[in-house]
Amino acid sequence: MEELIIIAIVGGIVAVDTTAFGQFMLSQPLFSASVLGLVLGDAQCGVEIGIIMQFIWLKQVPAGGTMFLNGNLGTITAAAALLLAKDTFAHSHQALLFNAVIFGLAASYLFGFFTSLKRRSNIMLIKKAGDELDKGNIRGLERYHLVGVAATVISGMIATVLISIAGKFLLLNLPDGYYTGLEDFFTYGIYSLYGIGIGNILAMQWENKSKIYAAMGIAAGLIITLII
Amino acid sequence: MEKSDIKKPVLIRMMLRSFLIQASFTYKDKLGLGFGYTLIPGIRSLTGDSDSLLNMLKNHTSYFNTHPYLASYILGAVLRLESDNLRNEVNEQVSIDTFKERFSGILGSLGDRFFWKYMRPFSSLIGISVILLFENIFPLNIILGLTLFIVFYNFVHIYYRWTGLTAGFDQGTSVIRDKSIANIEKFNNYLLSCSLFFLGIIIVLESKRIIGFDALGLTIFAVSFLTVFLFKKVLR
Repeated sequence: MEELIIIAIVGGIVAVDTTAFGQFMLSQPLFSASVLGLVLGDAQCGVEIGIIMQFIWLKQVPAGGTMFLNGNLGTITAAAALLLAKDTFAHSHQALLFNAVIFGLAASYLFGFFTSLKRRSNIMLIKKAGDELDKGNIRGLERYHLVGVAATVISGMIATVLISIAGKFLLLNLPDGYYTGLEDFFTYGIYSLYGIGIGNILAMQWENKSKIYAAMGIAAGLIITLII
Repeated sequence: MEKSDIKKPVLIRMMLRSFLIQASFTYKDKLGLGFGYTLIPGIRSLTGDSDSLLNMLKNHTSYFNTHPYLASYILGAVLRLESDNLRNEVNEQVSIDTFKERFSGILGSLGDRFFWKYMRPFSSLIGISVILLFENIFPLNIILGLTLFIVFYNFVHIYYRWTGLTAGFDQGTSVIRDKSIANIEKFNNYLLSCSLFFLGIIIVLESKRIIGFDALGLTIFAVSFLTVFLFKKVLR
């Protein structure tokens, strides 16, 4: 029960930090999944899923009125599902991690739809705020604006808990044959996900004049690897 | 009213409210209501006349869209323009609207590039690098990496929110030539170079950490990475 309360709180913070309040990057996969892992007692799991998802979702830009998939909420539900399932999961860690990531990616689509719905529902708030302004009630306008934040927090908390529980159920109830038969695939699938994520970021950042810095970084990484 | 009559606490309250500028975002009005909400403490301190206050607010809760952090420049400048309006007793609403419309596009583009394309990747790559480099002090490496990520990003984030508001109010429409805006493109180049450097380090450390230089694992990692990179860069 305490775990679900923690997941709800983190989910609410992620939901609201994504756009409605602050955008302090607390909702970024790297931060939110790692913190959830730290709080729920398995920082390594949290960081692993946080890094993979951060690589994958870094290319996404929440700009203007674009409709975006909500990778932040998708990640936190994946991390939560993984952390809830890991104690009773009967197969390898790689199998759990890979399938949690895939679940998170699918959940991101669902949350993108949810974010779009939330924004459409804000039209009602705008109308009510406008009515208050017509009546000369500025406090009323301020109140309706803040209702948007409250609604985001509450809906984020509820959705995160429900989807996380669904994720845990799914991860623990897929056929054993699926996990045992594809053991190697999941291991190499994780490597592939890292590669896809890094390829994403490199494509986003790559400019001809700057590729020397990537080469310098690889050289520095090799030197560090040899020294350590 | 002299501009010094707008006291710092009012600007601080506006900056705190600016964190909520996207609270009631819609696809139709975008940041419209949030803009008006953030402006309220400022325009309240300009005039005690409720009709003027309401008229100003009605003008500033319609459609508005720009980068949420850099909206502070427009907020500060609009406050200054409204203050000048009240002093001159001339209705310059059309020129305020024109300024908002023209400047919001510029800041939207600048802010999207600077914060989403360069700052956020750079900050997160620093965090990931520290986490991977200092695994031997687990879990302190995670706390350190996350702290660096959040602190570095938000130092720049909050700097621009505050600078935008104060520079906008000091300079009015001339804020478009402020040094802090002009420096953004220069910072983009530095951030890009540093991001690629840290990404290079991460590629090697991830290869070692996850794959242990196993030939098949490295091959799969490299093929995935190159496929995505080439597809997005070359074929698109």
